[in-house]
Amino acid sequence: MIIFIIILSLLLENIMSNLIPMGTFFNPLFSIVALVIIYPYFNNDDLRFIKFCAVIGLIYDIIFTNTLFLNMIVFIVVGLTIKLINIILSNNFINVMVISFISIVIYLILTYLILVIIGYKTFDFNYLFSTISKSLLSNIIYSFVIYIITDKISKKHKILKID
Amino acid sequence: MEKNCKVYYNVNGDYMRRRQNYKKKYWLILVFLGIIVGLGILYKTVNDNRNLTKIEGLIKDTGVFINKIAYAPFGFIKNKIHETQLKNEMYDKYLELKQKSDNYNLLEAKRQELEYQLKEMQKVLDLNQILSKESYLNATVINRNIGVWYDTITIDKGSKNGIKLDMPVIVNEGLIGRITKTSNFSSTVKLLTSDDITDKISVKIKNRDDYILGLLSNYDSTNKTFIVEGLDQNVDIETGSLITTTGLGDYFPSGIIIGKVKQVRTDNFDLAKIVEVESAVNFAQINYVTVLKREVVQE
Repeated sequence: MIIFIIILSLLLENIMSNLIPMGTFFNPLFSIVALVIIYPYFNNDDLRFIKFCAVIGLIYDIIFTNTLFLNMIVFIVVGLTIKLINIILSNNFINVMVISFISIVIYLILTYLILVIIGYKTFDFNYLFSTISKSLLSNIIYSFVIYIITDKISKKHKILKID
Repeated sequence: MEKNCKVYYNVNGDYMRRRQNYKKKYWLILVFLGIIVGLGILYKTVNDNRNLTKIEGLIKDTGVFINKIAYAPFGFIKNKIHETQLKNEMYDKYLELKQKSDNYNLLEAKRQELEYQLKEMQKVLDLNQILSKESYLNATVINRNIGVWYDTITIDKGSKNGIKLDMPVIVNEGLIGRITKTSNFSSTVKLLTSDDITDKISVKIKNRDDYILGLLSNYDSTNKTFIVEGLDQNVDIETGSLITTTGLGDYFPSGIIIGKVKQVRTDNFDLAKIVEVESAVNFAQINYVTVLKREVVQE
């Protein structure tokens, strides 16, 4: 199930980025949403989850952004955030949407700040804010849809996950 | 005895507290150093000048190949929709082209005459090499700005197709960027819209029969215009004037269109003019590109 969600999300992120023009209200970040969805399937094995986040981040770095280690580090931080929020919140579709929202905001702010610090980009608060707002809608919808689908599959096939 | 023990306890307690403080400080220094080293490594890896390693290239090519297969049916449907839209606009285009074709013979004769004159001049000046002999390579866009911040696209041609670093990339409407990374079967194009402050492009603005030189410094994402700086306060620039590359610098050959002058204003100190340039390229939706393979030809 974990591998299925990750591969589906990575492929869909690529397809959507090609179909939808850049700068519209649909900035796909489905791989971040996938981390939120897969967390319950690790059944509190947090170390394995963080290692998995690092691997996905590294793949994302190499295939999509050519920025070795940047996404790996940010994905680990996002993974830790997901783990911490899951201690407080239970696993249902509303909470999944809330966690996706927080994860996307953290991912975007963190990558932007790192890129600003290393001189790759210049800081512009309005640009950051507009990019975050453009990224939220499509990803929250995706988190809802993928949660419903995977939840039904896991119940049907009795795949163990924490609720 | 009791007093002595108390003194000893106090001394020992101070010693332990100091040791813990030292430990905390060491940890803080280590974390600080770790962050600096980490940022240094990231600076090196994010940098455009880094070449992809063989393993990276292999993983990237495999990933890009899988993505290409997954995108193929969606791309097919998208192309079909686009084709239908084009068919609807076909009659208007036909009328426009017919008008242009009436002038074709005239233009062809003029081109041949200019070519003849150029050859004669080269003979007179004894020029035995031409710098800007270009060949073209068409490519399809397979990834667009994934990860949001990078302003890059990935194309389906790589070093095996003869693509090298820093080659200029254009579309029908003008210049869009340059190649920054290549693997065997894919390449990354950095778009002109990225706000990399180290890249400035030398450009010329057509002003009646003369050219004015300037530097294309950055992209204003709010107004969707490029900014040209380094212009004298006293020159007159008309809106709508064409802006092309000069060929000065390492990356772009001469004469590639960038856009048209949208607005001319003076800088904050009233010392120089700043030109806002509107590109005809729709950077949000680039599907096919052309890579200019620049060669030096001996004649």
